[in-house]
Amino acid sequence: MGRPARILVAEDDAVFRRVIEFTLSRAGYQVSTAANGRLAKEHLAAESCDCLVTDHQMPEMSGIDLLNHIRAIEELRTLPVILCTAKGLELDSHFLMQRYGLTAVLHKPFSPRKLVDILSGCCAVDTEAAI
Amino acid sequence: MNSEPLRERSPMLVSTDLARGLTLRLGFIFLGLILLILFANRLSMSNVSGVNANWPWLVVMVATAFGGIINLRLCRIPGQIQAELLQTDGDPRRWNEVRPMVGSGPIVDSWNALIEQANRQRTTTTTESNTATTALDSQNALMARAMRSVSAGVVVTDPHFQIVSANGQVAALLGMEDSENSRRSDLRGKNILTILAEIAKITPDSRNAKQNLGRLAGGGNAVTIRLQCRPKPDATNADFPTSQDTTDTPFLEEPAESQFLRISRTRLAGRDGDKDGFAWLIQDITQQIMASAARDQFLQTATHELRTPLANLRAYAEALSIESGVSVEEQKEFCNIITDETNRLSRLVDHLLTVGQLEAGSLIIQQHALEPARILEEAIEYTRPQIVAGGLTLQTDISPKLRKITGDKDKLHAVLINLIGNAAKYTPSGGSIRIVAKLRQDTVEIKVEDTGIGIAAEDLERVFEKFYRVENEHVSKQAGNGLGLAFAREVARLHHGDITVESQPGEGSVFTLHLPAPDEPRAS
Repeated sequence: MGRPARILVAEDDAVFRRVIEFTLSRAGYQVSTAANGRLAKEHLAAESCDCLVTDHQMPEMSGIDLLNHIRAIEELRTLPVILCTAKGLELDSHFLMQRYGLTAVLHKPFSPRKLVDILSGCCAVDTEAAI
Repeated sequence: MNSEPLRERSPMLVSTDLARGLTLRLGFIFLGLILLILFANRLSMSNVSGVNANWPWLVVMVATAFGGIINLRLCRIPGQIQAELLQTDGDPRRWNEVRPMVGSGPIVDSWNALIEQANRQRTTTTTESNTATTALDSQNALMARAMRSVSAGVVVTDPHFQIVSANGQVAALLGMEDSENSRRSDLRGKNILTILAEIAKITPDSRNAKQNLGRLAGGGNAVTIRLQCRPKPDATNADFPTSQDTTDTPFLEEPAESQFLRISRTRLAGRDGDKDGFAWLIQDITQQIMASAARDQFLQTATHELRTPLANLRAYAEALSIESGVSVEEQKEFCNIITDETNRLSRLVDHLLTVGQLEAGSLIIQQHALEPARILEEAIEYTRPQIVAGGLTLQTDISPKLRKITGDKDKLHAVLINLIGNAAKYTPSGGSIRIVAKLRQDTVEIKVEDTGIGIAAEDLERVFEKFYRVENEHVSKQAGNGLGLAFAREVARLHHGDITVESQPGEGSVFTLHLPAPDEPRAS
């Protein structure tokens, strides 16, 4: 049995952060949280993680700014990232997925189960199991 | 026409004319008389039978004399006419000097009628042309004044876009004014498209500017474009919401640092159409663009704020239904969260609806008899936790003599909460809030006074504008969308009252809500 995959959830709404953490831990992941982009950046610098789930609009450092930062770092260039956003049709998700190599863009309100399904596709719960 | 009177010009001509006529006539008579005398001589020298032999002579004499007399008589009237006309030297403007004639007969009557007609026409023409001239002058003067006053630039160019005329505002609008003197004179002869191309903001993605200028240069009866320009020297960047998101439209990337102009070109009206040139109207629409952008920003924020509680509702409901082994405490907690989020959503929807009504100007005020003291007390109770949490003290002074007012309880409640909430938000810990309500001459005045950060003079009137938020760090730190005071003022005015403000930066502000309270309010 390998170690559980580590997911970092960057989300400024505490209530939403809680339910995502709840759902993902029940799915078997090890979840860390950050309340904004800056804290997420610091966390990524300090610890390794297998996948980043990040919100779009956050105080201090937005999701996009965070992405710009991590894609500039060698080790983080291939980190799977899932972007959650409250922006609907006004967002060019295709462009963003191409530009930042995103695994998926999820539009709020979305089903947390869907997040788990996407995660299982790119990031197995058990890191030693084959994908 | 010759300005020199005929008389001065050639006196000989006139007298010769007259004299000729007269001489001719007198000559006839004289000749006749001479012949008569000669005949008389001959007659006296010969016998009576000489009369029969000399009858040709007699006939000639009589005819001559007769002819002379008739001539005299016939020429009397034309002679008079001639004399009168000579008075005027042929100048119609001096026809008033021509006199009618005494006498009867068709010629005299016609002459008199002619003079009368001419005089009448002259008077009318003079009056008409005077009136017309005065009217045209005053109309021109009025239009010239209007051109100087109107709040837009008006330009006339020839068909090749060279400026022929421009009103005073154009130089300022195009950022070309540096002194009182350099106005219209500097613009004449310049090519308007060249000037516009120079002031247009050229960004890496300046398709818009080029395209728009191209449309102005092209054909078409009427073309209107919007042009983003380099900012005017004294433009303030103020309270413009800038987005940190790079996925926003590039056109509005730095709107706070631009000036926006609306430029309309139309063909100059006239017989030759566009061969005459073009008329241009230039307006500064920076304010409208900024307001639009602020509204868009607000809508984006609002959408985001709506989707957040929705996301929570969905996530927690799903967690409750799908997840197995959720503890009872967790279940209760999740259900409570769902309820809270529903409330949050509900408040947001109300808020958005209010904003929509504010924008459309369609806020509806209920009409009920209300006790201002009660509404105030309820608002104070509602905001007390916020005041206490902010470390502030509260004093109240509510007069017992307040009269009933007619109005909308919920909206007034919201207004008071907004005013007191603002006082709490913008007053640092340790400060105080004082709420005073009194009746002053048929008006209920409710003052909310704080010892907070205050408002600068230039922002004082603007704080009531929709979406306006003062640009400083204290304000930006606080949550707010710039609508509270706009809403408050709209509500106050719909109650036939108003909200006024006095403030000293660094010392505090006083917001006063004025509500009419006539002696006999109409209850619904």
